Amino acid sequence: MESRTTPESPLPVEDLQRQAVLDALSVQIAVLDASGRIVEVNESWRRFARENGADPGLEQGIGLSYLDACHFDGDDDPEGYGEKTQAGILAVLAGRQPAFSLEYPCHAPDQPRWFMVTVTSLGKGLDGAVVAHLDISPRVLAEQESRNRREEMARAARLNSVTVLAGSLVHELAQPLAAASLYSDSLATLARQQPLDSSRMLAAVDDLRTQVARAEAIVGGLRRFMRRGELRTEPRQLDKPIRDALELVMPLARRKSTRLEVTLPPIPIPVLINPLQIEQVMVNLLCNAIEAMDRFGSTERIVRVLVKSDTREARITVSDTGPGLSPVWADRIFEVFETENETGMGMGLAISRTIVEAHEGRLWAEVGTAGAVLHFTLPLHDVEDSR
Amino acid sequence: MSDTPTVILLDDDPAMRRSVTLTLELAGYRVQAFASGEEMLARLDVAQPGCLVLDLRMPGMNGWEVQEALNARGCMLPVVFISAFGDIPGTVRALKAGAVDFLEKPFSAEALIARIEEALAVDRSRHEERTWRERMCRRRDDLTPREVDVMHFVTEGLSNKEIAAQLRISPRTVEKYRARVMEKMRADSVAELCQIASRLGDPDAGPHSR
Repeated sequence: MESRTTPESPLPVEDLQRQAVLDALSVQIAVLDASGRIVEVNESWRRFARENGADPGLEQGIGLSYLDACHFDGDDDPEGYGEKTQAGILAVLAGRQPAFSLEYPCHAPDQPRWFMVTVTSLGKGLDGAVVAHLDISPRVLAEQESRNRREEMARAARLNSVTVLAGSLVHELAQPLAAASLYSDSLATLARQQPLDSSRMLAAVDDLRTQVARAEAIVGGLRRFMRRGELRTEPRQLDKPIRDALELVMPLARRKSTRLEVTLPPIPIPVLINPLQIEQVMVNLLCNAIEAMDRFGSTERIVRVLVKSDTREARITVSDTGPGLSPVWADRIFEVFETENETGMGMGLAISRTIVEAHEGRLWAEVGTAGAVLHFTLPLHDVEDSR
Repeated sequence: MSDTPTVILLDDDPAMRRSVTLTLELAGYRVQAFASGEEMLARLDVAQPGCLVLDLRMPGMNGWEVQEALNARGCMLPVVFISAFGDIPGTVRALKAGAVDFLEKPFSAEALIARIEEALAVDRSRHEERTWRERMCRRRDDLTPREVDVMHFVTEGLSNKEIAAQLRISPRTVEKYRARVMEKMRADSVAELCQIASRLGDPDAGPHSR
């Protein structure tokens, strides 16, 4: 078949048009043949190679094996992005999957950058694939910015919760300090006795140490809760932040004559979370329940924490024996400036919901129940699925 | 029941019970420790000499509820309260109910022992007062109604003649009653009889005049 050409180029018009379309795209594109060799690249690709000091061979790239180019030095690529991309390309070329995509960092010396690589089979009976690299830095930076802002808000809410907990924690701290003070006075007395009763002294030292450790645990819990939080999520067992929250709230519960009942399943529940923020959600829900019953003057004061999980998600339910939520309040409690008390727990609930939703979970209140019932869910983290 | 004073300790925190007990035993006191107000009320001998050391804030019955329950049972033991940060309302309430003193956590062994010494001194003097009062009441119960009337007027400062007029009996009979009152109350002088009467108070306020 005869192809038309232009006066400036010996190439057929169709080829020129295709090249012009490719060059007009801001995405960096390389077209691979069945063996993974580069058969065509676009202007974005060439510009990126130029600007990032690649050797002239790679700038054109034609004839090079893309698979080899993916093979990074392990030290430069601890997360194995190169290896994953290589495997993805092979799978697409072999027809095992129609497409593959991966987001990866590729920071320039002067600015952080992220890209998304997509590999798409040419299809329609053609062997080979199209590899496209898209600069997703603005999106990733915006996400980081919103994480930063969320953590700032979360920290402000944590500090706010601390003002609610402070009195009971100081009270709690006075116990081991009082006991430690008496043990040290008793040791001084024992040291002056003749004959020396060293076993009694050592027993007192043990008791003293236990009390110091108890005080340290209280201070440690508070310090953990008040620190500037991490921004990233990590795979964790769900029971840990729940137990941490219970420990932090226990003194307040004791002070307000409230019993905390916890039902955790015997098997670990793996979740991908920011542990401090989930602890914060728990502290917020527990404090709300305790304070609501105290304000209402409930005679029976119990907060129940129930943790359940199915194959997809974990559900945490915090219920109390207080007055419950009227339908009017059930939604408004999540508004930032709505609060039933002076301690600003309304703000806490709004932020708790934001935190849970950032974890791809949901937080809601039940209406018309005898006591208040709040639930939140968190998706389970599949250990195999480490995207 | 023993005559050695006992320090009765109530604290829900095991470490507080252990450390206070150790401190007080090393200082030579007898200590009886309880973990809850309910347990203490069930087992305490309220007649024994000593003092109470009560933690103000506990789950279940708190310190002042225990104190009120003990007061209702006629327990006269002085109370030293152990309080902590932010317990001021409870503190005021307990002081009104007759607490001897307060210790704020944390405290030293020295401070604890000083408060306990004060409390035990209060208990001793209350005990002496109680013993004296019981003795005097027994003596007064021995008086006949007429003798009670005579004692009342004598301690009011009336002369034999005036008493005789009041009771419509002869001054000589008054003199006889008066001697028996002095003997039964074991008072050496009218001044002493007056002192006993005022210290004892006059529960019926007035003579048995019919």
